[in-house]
Amino acid sequence: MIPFNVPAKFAAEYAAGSIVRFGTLLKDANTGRIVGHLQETGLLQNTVQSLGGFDPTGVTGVVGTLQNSVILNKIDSLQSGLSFLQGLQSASLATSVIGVGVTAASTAIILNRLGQIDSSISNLKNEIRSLGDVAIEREVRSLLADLQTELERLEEIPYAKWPEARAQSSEEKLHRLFNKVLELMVFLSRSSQNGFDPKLFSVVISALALSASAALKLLMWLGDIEIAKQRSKRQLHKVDLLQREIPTDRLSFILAAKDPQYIKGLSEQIREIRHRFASLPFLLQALENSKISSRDYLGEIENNETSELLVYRL
Amino acid sequence: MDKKFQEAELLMERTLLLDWWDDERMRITNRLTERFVLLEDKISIEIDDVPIRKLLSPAKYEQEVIEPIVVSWLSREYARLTFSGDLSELKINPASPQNNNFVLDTVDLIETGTVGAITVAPLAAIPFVGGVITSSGGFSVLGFSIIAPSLAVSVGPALAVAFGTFALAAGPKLRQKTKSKLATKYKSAIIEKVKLRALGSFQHPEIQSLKGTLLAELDELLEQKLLSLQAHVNDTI
Repeated sequence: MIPFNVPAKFAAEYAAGSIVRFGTLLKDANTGRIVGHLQETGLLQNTVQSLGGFDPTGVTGVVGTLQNSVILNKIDSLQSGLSFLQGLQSASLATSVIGVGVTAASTAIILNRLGQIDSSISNLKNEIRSLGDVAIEREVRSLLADLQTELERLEEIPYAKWPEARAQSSEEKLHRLFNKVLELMVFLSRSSQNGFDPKLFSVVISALALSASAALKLLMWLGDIEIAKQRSKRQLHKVDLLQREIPTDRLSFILAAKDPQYIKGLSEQIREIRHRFASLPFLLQALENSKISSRDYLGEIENNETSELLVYRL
Repeated sequence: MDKKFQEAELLMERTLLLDWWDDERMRITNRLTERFVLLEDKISIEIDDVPIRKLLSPAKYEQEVIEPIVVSWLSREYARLTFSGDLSELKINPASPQNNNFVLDTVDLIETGTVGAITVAPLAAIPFVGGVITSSGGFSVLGFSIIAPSLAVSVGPALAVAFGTFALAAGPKLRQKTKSKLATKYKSAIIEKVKLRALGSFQHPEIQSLKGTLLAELDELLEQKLLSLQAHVNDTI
């Protein structure tokens, strides 16, 4: 039995500021001690999916913070148990709370999300062409198609004759995709001057986070916890390097957007992803130390129908 | 807490340090951008008031009038924003390979209201501050002559001819109009050059600037903090 608590147990302390959030972890504000790992469940995904338009992966930001905030308010009015979730969101980061922990989103939801990203790129077409930069769109589309392919293969795993083999193959390809997307981001950051569309930038960040989280989830499903730990550290190291490549002050230089609030939003999106990446090695270590099977952990959060969020007590 | 958890915590601390670094970059950027407006105003007023005869030899005027204004501003902002104190506290060994761009020295900035100690400063990277320092040591002022040569290449000759034409212009109205036009052109050229030296440019990273210098110090400080963090974890494990 995995020691999950409902978040309401921490709500008062969180509201009082004695507990703070860092990525997916809840920490004692005074001692810095980690008290728990915040984890979304399948129930949250079902809830948000029924409302439509929400970013279920919690990483894309494509739908827009405002729209997500509106939906969060709707959720709050429907589900009183989500007040903790509401309290967790910072003003500009509604997306950061959904998708916390290891993603519990089913592949179908993620694929649906990818479809929305695809339409987002279609809307950009004219802007990109006016900059004479069709090659970038083609490259992003190609990477998203590869990502979609792997996620579809992932969805077929339960029906596969050799599910483990299929999972291993998909994991390898998703890992490769993560590296390709990262490489693309670095290339774009170095070659774009006031011309990199901010929406496209957001889409590429999404693809980066999606490929990383899907690969990590597969490693957990396979029970390769040691590799998952190494992978999560490597992913973090790479996004840290990306952060150094594209600090906030440089973002306004490479993007075709000058609104400081918009730039700040994108920067926070990257920061939040880094924080989540930085949280996961701790979770994986805790699972290993407690001899909890990572596949069981995934099964429990995906099938949980009692609370939208759980806290894995550490 | 066991070693593996400490390593996981180290990763989080590293991430927070990177957040701090990113915030500091923004703080420097915003601060310099805000304060640059004051320098711009000062230069602008100075050029508006200058008698036209002085502009007949712009290099001399820049060296004698504009340069001290700019050096004063750069030195003041450097003193306010430098990380040299933090770097000193971390007891950087100047002989270590990663710090070979740093010079350990204590130099007083002879600048009104900004006399302070720069204990560790990448002097090579701050030509203007370096200029102040060398002048205080009795050497010739090289500091902000960077304005004059660059202008000489880009707009200097054209302006010199224009100012010559101005001297021949007949009639007070025409003279006033011509002066105003020339002053505006001259002013924007000067401000552009000064801005490059103050705020730098992502398009021209090879051009040294105050912002670039401060960011280089910040990078060094980040590296030192990361090393300290790693050393602390190694000691406690």
